[in-house]
Amino acid sequence: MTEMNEKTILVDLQRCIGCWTCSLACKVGNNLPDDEFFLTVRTLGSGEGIDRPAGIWPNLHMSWQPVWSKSCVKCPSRLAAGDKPYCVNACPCDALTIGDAAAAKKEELADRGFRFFELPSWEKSKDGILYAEKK
Amino acid sequence: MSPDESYVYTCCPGWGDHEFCALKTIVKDGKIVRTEKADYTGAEENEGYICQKGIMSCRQPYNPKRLTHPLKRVGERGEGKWEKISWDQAMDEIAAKLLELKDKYGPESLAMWDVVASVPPSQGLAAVLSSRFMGLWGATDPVQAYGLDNGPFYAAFFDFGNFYKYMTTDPKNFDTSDYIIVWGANPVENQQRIAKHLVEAKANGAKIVDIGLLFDGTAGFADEFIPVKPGSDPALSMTMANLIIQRKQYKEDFLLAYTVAPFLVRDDDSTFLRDADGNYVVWDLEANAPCSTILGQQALPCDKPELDGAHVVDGVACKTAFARLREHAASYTPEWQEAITGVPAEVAVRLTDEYVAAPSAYIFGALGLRYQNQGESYRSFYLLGALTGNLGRPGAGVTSEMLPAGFPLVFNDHAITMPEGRENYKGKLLRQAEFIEQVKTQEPYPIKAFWVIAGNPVHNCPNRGLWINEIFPQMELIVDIDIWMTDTGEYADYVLPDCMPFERYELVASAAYNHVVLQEPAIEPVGEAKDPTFVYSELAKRVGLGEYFDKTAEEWIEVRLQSQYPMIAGIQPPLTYERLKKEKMVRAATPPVNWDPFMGLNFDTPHRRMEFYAEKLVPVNDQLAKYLPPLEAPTPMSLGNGTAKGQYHFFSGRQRFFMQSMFTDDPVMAELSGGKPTGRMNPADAAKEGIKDGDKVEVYNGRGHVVIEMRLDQVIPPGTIQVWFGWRHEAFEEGMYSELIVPLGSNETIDDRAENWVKCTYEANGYQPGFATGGFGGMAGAWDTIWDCACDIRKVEA
Repeated sequence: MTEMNEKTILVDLQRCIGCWTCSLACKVGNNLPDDEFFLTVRTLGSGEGIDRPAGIWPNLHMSWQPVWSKSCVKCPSRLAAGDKPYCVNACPCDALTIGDAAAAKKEELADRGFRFFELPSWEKSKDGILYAEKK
Repeated sequence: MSPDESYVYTCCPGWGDHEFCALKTIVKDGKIVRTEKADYTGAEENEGYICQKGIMSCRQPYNPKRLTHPLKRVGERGEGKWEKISWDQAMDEIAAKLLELKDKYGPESLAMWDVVASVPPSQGLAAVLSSRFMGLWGATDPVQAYGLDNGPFYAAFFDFGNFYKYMTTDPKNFDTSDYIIVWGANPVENQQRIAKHLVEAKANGAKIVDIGLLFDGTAGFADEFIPVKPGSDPALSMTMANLIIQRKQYKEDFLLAYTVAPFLVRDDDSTFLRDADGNYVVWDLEANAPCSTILGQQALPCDKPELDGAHVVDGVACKTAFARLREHAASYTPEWQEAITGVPAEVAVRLTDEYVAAPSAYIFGALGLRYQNQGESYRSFYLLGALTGNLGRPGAGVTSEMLPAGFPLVFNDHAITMPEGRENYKGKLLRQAEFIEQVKTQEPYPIKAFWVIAGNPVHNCPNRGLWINEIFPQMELIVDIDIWMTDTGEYADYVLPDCMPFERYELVASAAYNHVVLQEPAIEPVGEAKDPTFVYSELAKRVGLGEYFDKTAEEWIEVRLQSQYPMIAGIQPPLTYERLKKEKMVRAATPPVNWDPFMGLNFDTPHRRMEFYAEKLVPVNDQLAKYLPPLEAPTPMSLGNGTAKGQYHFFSGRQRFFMQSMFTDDPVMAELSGGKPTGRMNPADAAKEGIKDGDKVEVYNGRGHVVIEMRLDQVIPPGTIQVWFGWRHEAFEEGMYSELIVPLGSNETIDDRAENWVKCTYEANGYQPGFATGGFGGMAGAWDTIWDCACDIRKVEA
């Protein structure tokens, strides 16, 4: 199920700090209007919004997950020029990889006991986004 | 980059004392199209990074709110009526007024306000050229004992005898740590380069523990969150120290080699015992006799000094400093601290167990304990590092202030800031508390003019009312320099348009990670915006100081590069301005190890040892770190006995998407931050108060108030009311969070310990002009009490 091609973006969820740098780098790089995002960062918490954790004080939990919409085109001109898509290029924590780097990272994470998944199809998110999470 | 794109390096406009970053700015057809990570070299190859604010910074130069022309006030201050004038007119009028005030009141009647970190880069041309002007003119610098960020400097000064050295650490040191306690810091949201290395540490198997007030991004990222009540931290940290001592889990060899642990302390006056020649004394276990140390030498003349003992030496009863520590710490029990911190006793014990068991551990503090007792917290963190030997080796350490950097690089700034030598520098240094009183009384000399070099005091230097109602009315001239109209600018007589970093030349003096980086303009300045070289040259030539301001920005940078500091002077091929301009970034001659201020474990104290027992603090009985209650934040005790100054702790915390008030004008960043300023409180508290999510609430105390929409959020602990910091005054319906806060550096915050610290700063010659040129008075002598605040709330009926 978790196959990769050279355009698959691998997301190491252990490294995501929910900063939205990927989302905003994409917006600026692709010159999107203010209210349009090709990718947003979900807070996995109460579901209410950015940095809203699940639980009751002080037993709280949150983590983050970038989600690419189908509008994402995987920056073809950048890939063709040998550059990384804006999101992958900008992530300050090296949570995102693509191409050979992603293939190598997937092996490394598999050795470290990570599991891999894609979002279900009814989320209508971009194909070719593979998430990695520590078991 | 595509072929029609070019790049320069730029200090990020999101610069602001939490983190200093250099960005790669991509330009196409004369426009900035985006920013990217910088390309460092060598061991720092992977250290280039960018955050969400850096990404959006490319939009800032094009913000329609940019100031484009010098403005002169028409109408009353604060009325918002301006006329656009030329630079010549602005500078002619300002210079004429300054000369008039100088004749009437003396040059010191001009106060020049420089919160250095506000203008990217901190020690850039705005700082050095204004400092040069100030010293030649004889102006007053009122930003001494300012109070901001002071706790870490207190701890480093008294424990290690040094100041700037401990401000920075290379966060690559975290990567190999086994256990990292993030204590009073939120790097996941506010310091991305540090977050990057916490991520590395976690990927390498480290456990990350977050000790803090509320469940922020760092708490979410951490493996464990331990909430502590506001200002209670030293109770927990000293309990950890007590447990380590009682259970004999300390590293005896480390304590004996690098700290004052074996030094004998007199019972009678608590000073170190000294022999007839003034040397310190330890007890030699082999000889069963006292042994004098050798002044200036860390190593002891005896092989087996005693760690924990009491003796009578020449009729003087004394104990080792370690014995004094043990006795002092004995009352800090897990059960006792629970009532103060809210941390269950068993959690305090387990935390200590884990910290001690870790082969390499870090306590990562980064300024986030803005309570009057912060000095105690940071000294106790350093104590924990010393007790467990977690200092001075990879993966182990303690930070109190934490600017993520490489080796400190010192440029040739003396030559610029003090052209006539230090002894002829005429600038007058004034403590913030004295400035506040002096403006009110105009004694001992009048202050009649206020020039903002960098900063936005009406917004950032609480308290707002102090500035508008008490300080500014005494000024005959107020000049603000900024990139847009700020809360301070609203009350100025002249507002001068500054260039953004994208529009001027600079040396990236920090954030360079073992490189020297040149900032070049990416675009032409907007409108009539001018850089600091222009502003200070134009001012200087109109007041008879023109001969001292005869260089372009690039020529000043060339002077800065002529540094004898080995890591700059040793660069091969030599670092000329031509070379830097051609290459944009040149690697400094830094050693191939991660910068760690503790490397070598040799300290700038008389005995070269770390003073967890600080003799200079004996006059205020503070030689050993201890718990003191916060200034105003309510505690369980003060709430219980009715002495609390308010029912709630008032906390004005920072958001991910803003940097101080920067980015609050960017519609995207504002939207991601909720669109408008709100307050937050814990749902259980709200239920007791009858407040529903979205209700309008007034938050108030004796100093001021703010009316906001209150949100219920589990992130906030019971007992705290939070109102977001950063939003400008105009975004609030009524009042502003900064009205409630104790004025920074004011007399209210000054206690005996602060006065003692001022005295010690004078003795160490710390009241000197310049940043990193020997002066540190700006960050000594007062406490940072921004979060040491109490409030009450009332629902505002519709």
